[in-house]
Amino acid sequence: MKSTIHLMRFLKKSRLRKKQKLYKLAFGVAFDLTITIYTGLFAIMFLFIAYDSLKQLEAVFLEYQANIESFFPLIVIGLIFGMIALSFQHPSINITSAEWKLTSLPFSIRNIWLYSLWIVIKKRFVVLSLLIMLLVLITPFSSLFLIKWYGVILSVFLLTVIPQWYFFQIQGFKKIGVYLLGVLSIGVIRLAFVLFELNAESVWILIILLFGLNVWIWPRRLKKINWMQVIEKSDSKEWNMFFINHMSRMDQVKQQRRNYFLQTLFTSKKAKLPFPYQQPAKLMRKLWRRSINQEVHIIYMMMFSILAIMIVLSLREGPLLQGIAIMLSVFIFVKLTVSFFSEIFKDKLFHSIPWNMKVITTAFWQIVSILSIMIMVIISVAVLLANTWSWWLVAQLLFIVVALFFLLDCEIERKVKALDKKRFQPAYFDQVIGILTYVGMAVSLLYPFTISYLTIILLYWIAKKHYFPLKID
Amino acid sequence: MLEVKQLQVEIGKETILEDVEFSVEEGSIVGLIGHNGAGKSTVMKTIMGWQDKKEGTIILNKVDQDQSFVRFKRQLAYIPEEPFLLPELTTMQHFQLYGQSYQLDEKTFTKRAQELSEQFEITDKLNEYPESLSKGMRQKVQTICALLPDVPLLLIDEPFMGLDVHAAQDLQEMLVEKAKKGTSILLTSHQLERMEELADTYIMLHQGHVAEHGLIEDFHSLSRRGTE
Repeated sequence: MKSTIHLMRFLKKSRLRKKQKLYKLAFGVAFDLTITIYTGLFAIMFLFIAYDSLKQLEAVFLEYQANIESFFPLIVIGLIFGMIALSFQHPSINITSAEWKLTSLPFSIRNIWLYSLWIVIKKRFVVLSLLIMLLVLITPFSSLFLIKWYGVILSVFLLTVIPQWYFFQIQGFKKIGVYLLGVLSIGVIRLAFVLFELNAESVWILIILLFGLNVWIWPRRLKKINWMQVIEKSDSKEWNMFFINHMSRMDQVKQQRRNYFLQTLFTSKKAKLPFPYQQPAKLMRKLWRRSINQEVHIIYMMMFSILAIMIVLSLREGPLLQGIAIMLSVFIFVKLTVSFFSEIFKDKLFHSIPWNMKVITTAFWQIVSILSIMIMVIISVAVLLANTWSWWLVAQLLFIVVALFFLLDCEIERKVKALDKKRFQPAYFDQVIGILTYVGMAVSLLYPFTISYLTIILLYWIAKKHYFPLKID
Repeated sequence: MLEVKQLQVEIGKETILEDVEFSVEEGSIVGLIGHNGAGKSTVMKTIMGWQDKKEGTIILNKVDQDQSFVRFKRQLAYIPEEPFLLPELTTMQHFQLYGQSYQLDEKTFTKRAQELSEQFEITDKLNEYPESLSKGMRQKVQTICALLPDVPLLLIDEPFMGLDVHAAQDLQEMLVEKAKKGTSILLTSHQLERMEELADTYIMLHQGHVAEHGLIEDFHSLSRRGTE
């Protein structure tokens, strides 16, 4: 054990030195002497202001202190539950790849784990103690009140480390079952507190139960461990340094989202079966869903932006503003959708195989059609709410639907051609008709006759597909 | 077959490849040799289109890479040094993706997928995701994917890395067989003994230039002369 502690300390020190070096570099980039002095002065001023404000709120604090007492058991129960719920995300005890590598040397995982447990306990103790000291210093809460809370919260913090580790290892529906059982137990405990009129001091019963759970887990602590998951989560926590990531722009690098819990839970046997070989679009649809899922946050942002544009510009009187809102919404949608289309080709495996463009585009259209309908619903609702219903309005909405699909088709076709030909230049006429379509949408509500432009779009579209079909495959 | 002319690649301000010129004849196996950082992988990446070139042309069976990238790619298959499989697809689904992309008919695909799976001993892993496969197994899956189609050119980066002795031997025999049937193979390897057994000719890269090229027997005598 002695040699393990010695080496673990050495690892910790080396890690700390590396982090210090990184922070030094990042701070060097972010701050110069003047900014540092000003920030320091502002921080000190802020502390004084905060202290003064808190002093003035003494009566409020004392009132809270009196009221919060009755919620004491509930808060403790929530805290226990919350801490254990963290097992969905992290094992609480860090065993990084560096520590794991030690197991290939004469160091036992039991000792490494034990030392790592000690580190977590020490860290939680120090952080909570410092926090309480700060609260004693700057808040008007009574010391006795704070010490009582400190005792209970510290016990919960320390006694949930091992349960979190244990529950992290449980997978699939069993985990959900345990979680639901936990919720049920909390309900029963809470009910017991009310029925038996147990006072706040009785929360110690909970602490004893938690201690009992720790005793039960102890002999099982290193059985059925998913080390790969533990290492991955630990590595990512250890080296996830917000400031460094931000300064080195690593926060802009797309992280592959991995959730083994959900993956193991929802990977059905059917998903593992081969696809019907004669229907290649089915396999492609799966790849498109994967590709678009990775950008799902952008889709949410896009929907929100379009909704905001439509609401804000529709609330202001005037068909021109609403027309511009429609144009902007369609523009955002088309450009973002086309950028999704380009995304899949950046994947190494996908890039290395020949592209069956017909299958790829067909599958993409099948996925994107759902998104297009959602966008059209947003636009249509805004237009119908802001205008008096008429057949003209329906015709205008039809014009927008056709224009949206036409623009999307043109953009995708251009992308496909650009992927095939290095020095591809889009046709001049194609670009002009695209611009005119956007202008047509902007003024269509103001000048309803603009929808006659729909005929030009349709004629051009049909002629293009018939006489100049895309021949890449 | 494959013609690389006056290839120049720059990354940032650094010139990685300069005036690289070579050709690979039909049915020949060409070894791309060089120290680490000589530019072997950059040549492979540029042919695959991952790396933009500053100058030069790459033509495969009269199809210019810049003129019709899709047709160009349909004529080659690539085995990377490190497997890059998709986490959402099983082994068989990967085979299907390759089979469909190279437009193999179902009968040919099924026959080849079965034969290769048996040869590489992965028949029990066909419905497994890459995460549950060892690195060697993943390399086998990636190798099978590239061997499924009959393409004029095979690009192989360190083909024997990660494969066990039997799989490596099988692969070597398969490559020789493919070459006999007319497939050209451009490969990089640090295992020079195996390269000498396999390749007909060699191209030696040094600091982004073609330093030597010729028959592999000459490379053998040159390397011996170098050690004497």
